[in-house]
Amino acid sequence: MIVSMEEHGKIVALTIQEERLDAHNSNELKVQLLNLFEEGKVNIIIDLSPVRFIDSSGLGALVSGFKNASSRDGGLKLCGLQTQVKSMFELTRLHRVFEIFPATEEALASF
Amino acid sequence: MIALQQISITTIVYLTTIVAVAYYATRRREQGRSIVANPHVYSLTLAVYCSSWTYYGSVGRAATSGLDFLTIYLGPTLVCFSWWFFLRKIILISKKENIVSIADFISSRYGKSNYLGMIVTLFAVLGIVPYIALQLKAIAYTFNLLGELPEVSSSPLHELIPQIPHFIDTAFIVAIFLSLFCILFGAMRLDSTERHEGLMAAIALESIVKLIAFLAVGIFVTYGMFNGFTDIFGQFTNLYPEKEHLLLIPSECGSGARWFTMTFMSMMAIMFLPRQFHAMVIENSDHHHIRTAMWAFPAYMFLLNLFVLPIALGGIITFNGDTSLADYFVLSMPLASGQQSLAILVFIGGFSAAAGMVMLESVASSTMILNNLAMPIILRCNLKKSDISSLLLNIKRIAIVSVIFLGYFYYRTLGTSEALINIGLISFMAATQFAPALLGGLYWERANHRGTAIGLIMGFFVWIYTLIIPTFVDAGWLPLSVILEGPFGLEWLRPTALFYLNSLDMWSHSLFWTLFFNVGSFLAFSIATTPTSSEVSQAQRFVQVATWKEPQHQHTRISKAPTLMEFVNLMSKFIGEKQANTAIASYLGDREIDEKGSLSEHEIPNLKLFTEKTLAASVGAAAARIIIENYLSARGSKMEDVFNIFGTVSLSRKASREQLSVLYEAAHAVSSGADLGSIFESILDLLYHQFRFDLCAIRIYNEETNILELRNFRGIDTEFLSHANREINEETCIGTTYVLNKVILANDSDCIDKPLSMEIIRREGIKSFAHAPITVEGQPIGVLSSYSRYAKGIYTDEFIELYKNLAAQIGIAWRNANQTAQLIKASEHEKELRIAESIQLGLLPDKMPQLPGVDIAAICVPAKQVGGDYYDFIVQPPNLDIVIADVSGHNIGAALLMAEARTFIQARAQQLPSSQAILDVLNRFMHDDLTKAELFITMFYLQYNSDKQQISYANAGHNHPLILRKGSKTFEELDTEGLILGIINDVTFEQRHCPLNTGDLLMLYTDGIIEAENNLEEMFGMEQLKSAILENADLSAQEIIDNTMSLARMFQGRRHFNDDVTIVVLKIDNTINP
Repeated sequence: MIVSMEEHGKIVALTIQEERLDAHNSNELKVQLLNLFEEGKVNIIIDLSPVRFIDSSGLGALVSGFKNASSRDGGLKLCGLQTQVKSMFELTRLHRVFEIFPATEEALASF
Repeated sequence: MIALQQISITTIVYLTTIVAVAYYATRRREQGRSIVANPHVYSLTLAVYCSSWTYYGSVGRAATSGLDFLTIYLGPTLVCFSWWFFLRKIILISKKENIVSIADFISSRYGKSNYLGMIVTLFAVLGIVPYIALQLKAIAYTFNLLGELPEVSSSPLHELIPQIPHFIDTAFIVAIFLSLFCILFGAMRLDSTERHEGLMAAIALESIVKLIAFLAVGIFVTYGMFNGFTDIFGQFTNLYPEKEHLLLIPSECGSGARWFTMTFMSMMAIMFLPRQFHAMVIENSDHHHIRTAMWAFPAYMFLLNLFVLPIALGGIITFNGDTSLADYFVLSMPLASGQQSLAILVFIGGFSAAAGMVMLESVASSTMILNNLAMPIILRCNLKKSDISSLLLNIKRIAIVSVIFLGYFYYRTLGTSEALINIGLISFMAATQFAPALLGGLYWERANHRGTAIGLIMGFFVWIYTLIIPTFVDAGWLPLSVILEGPFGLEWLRPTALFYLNSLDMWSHSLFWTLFFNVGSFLAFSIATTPTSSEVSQAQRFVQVATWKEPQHQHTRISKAPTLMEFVNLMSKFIGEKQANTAIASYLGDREIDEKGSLSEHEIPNLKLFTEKTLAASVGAAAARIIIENYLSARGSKMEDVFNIFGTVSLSRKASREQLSVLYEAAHAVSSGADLGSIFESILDLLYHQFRFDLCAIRIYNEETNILELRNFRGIDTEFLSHANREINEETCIGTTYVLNKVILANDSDCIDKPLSMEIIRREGIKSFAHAPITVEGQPIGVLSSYSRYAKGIYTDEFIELYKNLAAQIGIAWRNANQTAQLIKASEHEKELRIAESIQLGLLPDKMPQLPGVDIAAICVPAKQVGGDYYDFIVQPPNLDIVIADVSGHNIGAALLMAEARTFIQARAQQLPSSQAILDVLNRFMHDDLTKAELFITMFYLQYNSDKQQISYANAGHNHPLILRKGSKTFEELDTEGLILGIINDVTFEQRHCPLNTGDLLMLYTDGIIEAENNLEEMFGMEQLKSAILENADLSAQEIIDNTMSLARMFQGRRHFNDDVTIVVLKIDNTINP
């Protein structure tokens, strides 16, 4: 899976450069996030704007990242959700759990 | 004169009988009690050889040119003795390879070459379709003769309805009927190796009828009109002494050549005319039937010929020496003596002879047209339809009709001209052209597709030139000068005296030149060019069929192998789903499969071969190969050798025996299945002892340290060992070997130019050395080294070849070991998935709750990779609880969590007051486990109270269930506040309720159905789900589910869903009282 990474001080902004976040690639994201946490980078923004479709495994990877970040006193915030992705969050009510922003800039400002 | 009605009614009654017999045979076959699978019936079907051309024509020929009509029967009689080894071999091969036509056979033999199949098909159709014209003519002519209608005339229809168009004549009606019959019994389904028993039964019946009719007329003429054989022959010699030559084999020069030619051509025709090939090979049910056919068929021909001469001579006497209508003596003799019913019987016999030939020829041709002409085009068009089997079947039907009507148009165009008469022998000559390709292909491994193609093309070109052109001249379409002076005045090109060969009759001349060019090119190009590798393997399969050992498939595996179901889907696309399932069921039989229906790794190549063969049966071998190869390459799989020792090791023929034995030993070590370390040790031992090196070493590249690490060695002292690793650069010889991926050797170590290497060599006292890269798929993975401390100049070219081969073997051993590791890993993953799946399936209710007034149905189709769906019912009247849930992830962990949730719900639901409470308690209970497993669950919990006709529900982030109210067209979606389970401990779950009245419909589902995707990455979606429900709302709950599932499958174009699909449907319906 292609993920681009930018560091803004203590905050790491990831952009998922894939159209789909599903069973085939969500595990890679999970591992990538764990690596970041081990390096002590616990403030993460994930930009999902290229993602058109997310399924339950994709959500699972994000939830796992969210829980791990929270337990390390960090945070995992999302931005750039497309309509279909957004409706998935609304369906599961995960939009109540994650902090979701329109774009990376707003997310950066919130830390 | 016989009344038209009488002839027509008799014909129709006879036709009905044929159809009935064909239908009966088909039924019997379906019941497994075939009447056609019988050696005598088989022999009778071979008698389709005796078409109306021989039925009427033999007498005609006997009356006009004498005894040479016999050659047409002598040839087959003589060739019969060879059937036991020759025909049997063809049949055995055809059954094994699922061959469906002669074109398929030739194309299959020469590497499943597509264009070769096309060539054979084109020639077969062009060369033999005119023969159909002859049959139509015979039927029409005799019909009109019988009814005393004007020639080429109107059918009986014209008398009844005069205004029908003129082109509808007897032949036209016959052609239509024959087309219908062929479609009915020849193109009912696609798999041509499923033999056409109905058709064959009809042909066997026709063979009996034509024999009886001919014998009847023969006995009538001999003993009714005359007084036995002696009487006829006596009268004839008295009355027509000048015609005595009819009873003698002419002694003039050249007649021997003609006899030989005719006999030879009929020998070939009985084997290679497409219809004969079809009857003998494709429709054969048991090769032991040949044994009976070898005497029964010649006996049949003997009986059929017994009365030819008496009838011919009797005809000459009766018609006062007029032989202009000799072709129809068989019919006109009974007519002349007023035996009307006998005449009708003769007509029916002739009709049988013609119809049998036309039917079989058109079915055989249509199979070739479909497989060898139409299929390649269809494949190129790359149709996106999921099931093209009906398209293929229709093409076959169209081909049958086209072939018959092509014959009809020949008849209309050439009907009255002389050109038609020779068509019989001309098509025999065409069939003869297939002989070199077929016979050579059966016994000569070297024969290849280039030789065959060029031979066939040359043969057919000369065939056209020496036979068709003269026929056209006879018909007046070309000037006579072409024959007399040659085209453009070139005398040496005269079609009947090519290259000044003018001492032979037309047939011998043509046979000589066609075979000269055909066999000549076949031999020359086969010897001069090298066959392709697929051709070599096909050649072996064909030539060595008798001593055939099963090919060792276990030596190959398919990377990224398709699953069993994918093969079935591929087959369904071409032969239809039902047939594909039947085929796979018969294949699996008692094979080793696990509970999930997948095959073990080593079965996949066999399955591939099976799929290819099954497809070959309906689309031909060449097309089947292309389909499979395209399919595999499209999904990135390819056949690879796990190890094929001598395949990758190429050694010059000069290699000495010791060298070969070293290689053999090495190969033995590699294939021993021992662990990698001991394989490496054995190879080094060989090198060290056999060639007396002082040091031998294998270094393997280590990705992590980026150096070449010493892995195994022989004869190296500890001092050397401590600094034996090498870095990846060109400073040492070993590094260079690896980097450049080529052998580096020094026969005199003083001559090397690398300071670092020099230093090592000096220190160790090495006189000469060689390093060879160890490669896997061309990429270096290590280096094999050998050193000598005493000898210089020991590395000869030959030795280096051997040395490289040893390095290659090490590479193979390395790759095998890695592949085995990957296979083990993959199979462990598979195993885990299967356990998870069986847990999941175990959780589902095994039957639907039976409640009055409620129609309920549910389905859960597990997918392979993702998702873990679950639904359940808890019945505590008047309440019915329905729970539907989806765990993210699909491994044992997820399945166990689902089991945990289920147990909890089953145990606690009854004590908890509401849906809301259940979700809340469940969330707290599962939270830690879910967090640990990094999974979550979406769940919808719904309680239906049948007394109050009300539902109450709570949602943990699950897809919204749908309600369709009675009479409404719009859906209500059920949702409440909440959160998926396993995220946080404290979640406020909301609970709602609403009525659910009689006639209302409720559907719960998981995301699998709405996220079903087609090839264009479009999803099935809510809208399609809703319209599926609307369309089927009046049906039962189970039918709604079934129809929705098939709509979704149709939408995505395949059977299998990427994610689990679960649907629960509840209909409130007071009429249901279980």
